[in-house]
Amino acid sequence: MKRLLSWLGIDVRAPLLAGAVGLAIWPFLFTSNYDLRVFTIVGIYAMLALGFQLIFGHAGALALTQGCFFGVGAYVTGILATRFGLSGELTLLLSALIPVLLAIVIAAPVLRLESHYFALATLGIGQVMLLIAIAWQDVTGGSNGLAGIPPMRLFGVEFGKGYGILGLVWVFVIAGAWASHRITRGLYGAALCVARENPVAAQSIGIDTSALRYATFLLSALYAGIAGAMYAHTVRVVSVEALEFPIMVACLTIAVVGGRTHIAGAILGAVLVVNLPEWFRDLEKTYLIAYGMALLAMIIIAPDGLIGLMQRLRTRWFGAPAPVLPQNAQRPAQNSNAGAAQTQTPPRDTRLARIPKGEPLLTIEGVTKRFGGLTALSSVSMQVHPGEIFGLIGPNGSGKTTLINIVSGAYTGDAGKVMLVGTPLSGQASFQIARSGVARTFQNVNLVDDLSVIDNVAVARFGAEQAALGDAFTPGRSGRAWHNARDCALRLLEAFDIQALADQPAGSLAYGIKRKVEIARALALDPMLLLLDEPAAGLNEAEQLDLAQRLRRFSDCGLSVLVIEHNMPFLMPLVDRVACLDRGEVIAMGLPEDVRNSTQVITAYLGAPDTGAAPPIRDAALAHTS
Amino acid sequence: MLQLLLNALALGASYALLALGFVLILNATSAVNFAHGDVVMLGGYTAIALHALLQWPGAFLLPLVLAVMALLGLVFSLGAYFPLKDRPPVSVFISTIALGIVFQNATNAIAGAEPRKGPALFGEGQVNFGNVAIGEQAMAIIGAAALLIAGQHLLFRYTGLGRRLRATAQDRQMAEAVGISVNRMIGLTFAIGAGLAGAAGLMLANTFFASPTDGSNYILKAYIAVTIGGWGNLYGAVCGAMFIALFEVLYPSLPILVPLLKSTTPWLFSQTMSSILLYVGLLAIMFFRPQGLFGEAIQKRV
Amino acid sequence: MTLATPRANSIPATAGRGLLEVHHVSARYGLIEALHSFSLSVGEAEAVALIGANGAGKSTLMKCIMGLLACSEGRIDFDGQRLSGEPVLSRPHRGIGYSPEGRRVFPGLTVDENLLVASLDRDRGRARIKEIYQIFPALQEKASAMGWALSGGQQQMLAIGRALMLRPRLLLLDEPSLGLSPILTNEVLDRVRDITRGGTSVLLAEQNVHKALAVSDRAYVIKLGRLVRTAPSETLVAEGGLASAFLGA
Repeated sequence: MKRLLSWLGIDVRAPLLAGAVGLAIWPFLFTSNYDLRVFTIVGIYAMLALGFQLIFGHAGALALTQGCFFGVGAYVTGILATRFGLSGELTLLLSALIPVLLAIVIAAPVLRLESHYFALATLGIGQVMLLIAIAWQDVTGGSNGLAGIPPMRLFGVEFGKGYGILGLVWVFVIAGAWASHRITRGLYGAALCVARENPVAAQSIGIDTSALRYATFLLSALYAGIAGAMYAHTVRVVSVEALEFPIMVACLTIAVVGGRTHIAGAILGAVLVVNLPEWFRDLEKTYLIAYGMALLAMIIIAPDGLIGLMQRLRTRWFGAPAPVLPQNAQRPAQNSNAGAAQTQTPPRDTRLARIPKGEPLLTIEGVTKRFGGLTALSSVSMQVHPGEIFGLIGPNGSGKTTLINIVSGAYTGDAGKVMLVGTPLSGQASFQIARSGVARTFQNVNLVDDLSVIDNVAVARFGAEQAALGDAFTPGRSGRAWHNARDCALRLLEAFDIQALADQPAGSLAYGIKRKVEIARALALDPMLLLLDEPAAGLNEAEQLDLAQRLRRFSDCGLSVLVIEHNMPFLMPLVDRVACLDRGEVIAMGLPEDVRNSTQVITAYLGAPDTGAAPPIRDAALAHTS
Repeated sequence: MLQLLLNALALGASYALLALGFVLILNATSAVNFAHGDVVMLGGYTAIALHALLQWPGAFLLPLVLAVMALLGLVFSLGAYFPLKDRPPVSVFISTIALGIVFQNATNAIAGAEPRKGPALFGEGQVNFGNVAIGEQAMAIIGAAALLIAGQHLLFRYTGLGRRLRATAQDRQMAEAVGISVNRMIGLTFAIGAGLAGAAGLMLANTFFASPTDGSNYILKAYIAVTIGGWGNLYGAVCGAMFIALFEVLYPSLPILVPLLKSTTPWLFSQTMSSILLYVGLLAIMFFRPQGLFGEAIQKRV
Repeated sequence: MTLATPRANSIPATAGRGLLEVHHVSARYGLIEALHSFSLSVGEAEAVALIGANGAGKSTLMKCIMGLLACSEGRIDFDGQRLSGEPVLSRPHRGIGYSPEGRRVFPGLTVDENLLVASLDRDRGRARIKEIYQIFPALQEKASAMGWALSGGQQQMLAIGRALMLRPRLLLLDEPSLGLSPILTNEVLDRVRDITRGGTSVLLAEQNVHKALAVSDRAYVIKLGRLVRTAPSETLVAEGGLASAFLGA
């Protein structure tokens, strides 16, 4: 009993359970045929919204095609059932698949676009389908549509009016909700979260954000197609209404009002959005106005939707929900001995052993980069050897971050090449470069604030665990991959002595700790080369010393580090060699002492040779004041 | 043929007004106004309502429509833009979608769903130039639109207010730092954008009738025009609008102009087909040249 | 010779009350505490340099003074009246001109328009533009060129000219040498002397230490958001040893 209560006490589970119970008994309380049909429609819209949540809520792309896919699914069922007399199983299958095919076709030009381009492009597709439905009268029945669609019949069982179709629809809803839940859990779900919140960071830890968007887009079409088929079998008529904008509006309203990423939000939203016109039947013409105002109010006041609002209120009234303990919280004691040697050092890589003696790990040759008229980098060349810590210094605007961006794949150089051992990196996408063994951090720490520390690090194992959508449905695979990822993450946190903070949301931490988490995340990629952009910024002296020591230890075990810094007391003792950039060119390269004392470097930083007591400059200053 | 070209030009002029308003708002706020098409629709209905009230021809109603729509634009910015300007851009998309829904359905509730004819600018007859008959309305639209576009151009290029509007669109923070009242400029931009959209609505309502659901169609026209012309490029948008209009008018007429095509199936050159082709063309442009014909390829900065 | 230990509260006395008074200001830039209890003052018609390595907090301070960044602690006064907490707009109206890091000229406006847009009305603006062109003759040749078409040096001159349009009492110059060649840097920074002679104070944030000291009366050295040293510029030049401060001993 206690366990049940504590389980209920997590987050907003209590009210949600109450709601679920209410929903289950509803169709037995309101039993007229009309009420049952409304309840069925609620289920259909819930299904539609669940799919929409995948692309809009989880992947973060506002796709206005959801209504179009729904309509296509409805029409496919209508056409195939009435004109071709195909069986229920076949029409359902095709209603699910044809929208997915449509999604595949339009994904190519459309998914690459930035958010507003994408939204409008998807709107255009909806319009095209509507036009086709009206014009292609022979097949679609034109403006009149198709009537006489038979009730749903699956494998000999008829799901007729009333409880029949209602039951089937809600079985699909539950299945869809379960599938959504599985997909958005684990490593794949965490990757979706990072890709949405911080696409640049996601790419830098080996996540192919385009592939994720593509997968969720197709899934959304699948859900919509099934919902459309169910709709056709429920209302038994398909007309152009199924393709018109109000359905998309309802779907969007459900997602925004219920909550973009909460499964319960899809259902709650559907209950509200479908029933409001019923409850306010006098407002028949104006219920859509109410939707519009509700949408506006929600997006301003409660962008997380009602479920998100509930969660926030719960936190405010009852304190933060009990965190979900990682299953391996008890494990460190067992692991620490076996892992002690490991936690202090990243695993020695067989890849490193394959590098011929004397060969550099990273070769940068003749790299040039221009932004419009400005030349940010001009024929820059350098090499980083295995196990070496290489520093990169230079005044503001000299091109240091640009160079790192080219190595990590965020930018493409205009000339020159970058090689990792023998493999060219230039031209590869940043997530591919990350998976090849080049990890990086950013000037501004790029963590996902809402995820816990351990999850932020674990998600970097996405590539290593070869996480894929299918994991959600392979028994145990998703759990195992996530388990392994978190295990690895925990060991890395131990290497930085921050394992006690594993479950804290990353956004709540002090800056120095965040920096450590970001580096731990980069190390989770098991890289050969670590690119650090001003890692000491914002750290106090004790933290800087600590960081320097750790980096030294990592490099002793074979990790190469390329670090940009302005903080000389931190950098100079740490690095084996250093290069200085000025105005996009390498003006000095070599041992720290040599570079530091080079006149060119001093001039670049200070503006003129530092000659101690300098009468010439003094005269010049006097000349100005006279 | 001449009549056809004139019609295309008139249509293009109306589309140009609506695209211009869209881009102005886009440049000033980086916000895509989904309700822009619905604002055009409201302009048409405002003209119809005022005409019913005052019985004036459209040309005299135009200044009134501009004023009413400008006010609407201001109120719109207060509801949909300013509360959300520090949030991620998707919030403003959604808020403008929301207001668009409200506009559509309020109009539907008040005026009904049946399409209504808007007042002509002067008359709907024909004027004879020698042995060529030219539609009055088409000429009037071209004239009025040209005046409005010229007016907008003059305002922006040659007045202090225009300079301030442009500066705000180019670098809002810096505009504030030199003493420009940025919020006022943004509100004004919404007002001007809505005004131009309303004028487009007035002009389109006569030939194409006004109905509450026109909005989705118009926003797509704006979007296509802007995509062709280069996102954010004012005069590219005008060119894009012209192109769309030319295509929409000339394409269905191809069987008449080119006798060779007369024997093909009727639906190939129907109005519907031309719309479909337009959208497909849009997708093609986005795939092959996303920066539009006049835009510059933008490299994303990390 | 190493730099002296921090004397955060010792602001050299200037004749009369300072025009700009920054009292123990702290600020966060993103997540980093970029400024820690920093104080400085700028007097009438004086040129003050703020020197320090990148990330030391120079631009952060400029942004705080301009109101583009909120101070978490402390207070800024201008001409005896509170400045911190006022909207950004109040700066140009109260007599503070700003030439930001990266120049940020309006790319789609011509040089003339860039200057005009910073003035309150057109007639006074046109007269003032002529004066600006006297300070920066190279700009006059480019009067109808668009902002994006100008070179770095021209943009820098334009940014300063734009900041001077309203005859400010204080000019905030943030890293003017960024991206400029040494010759252009000299050309631009030499103007600082002319500007102060005209009665406008200048607060100059610069990483080009020698040039900054050459054109200023006093300087503050900032390191990791904290005041490390403040002295007349001549003193700092004579002391030398600045290289070690920037490149590590």
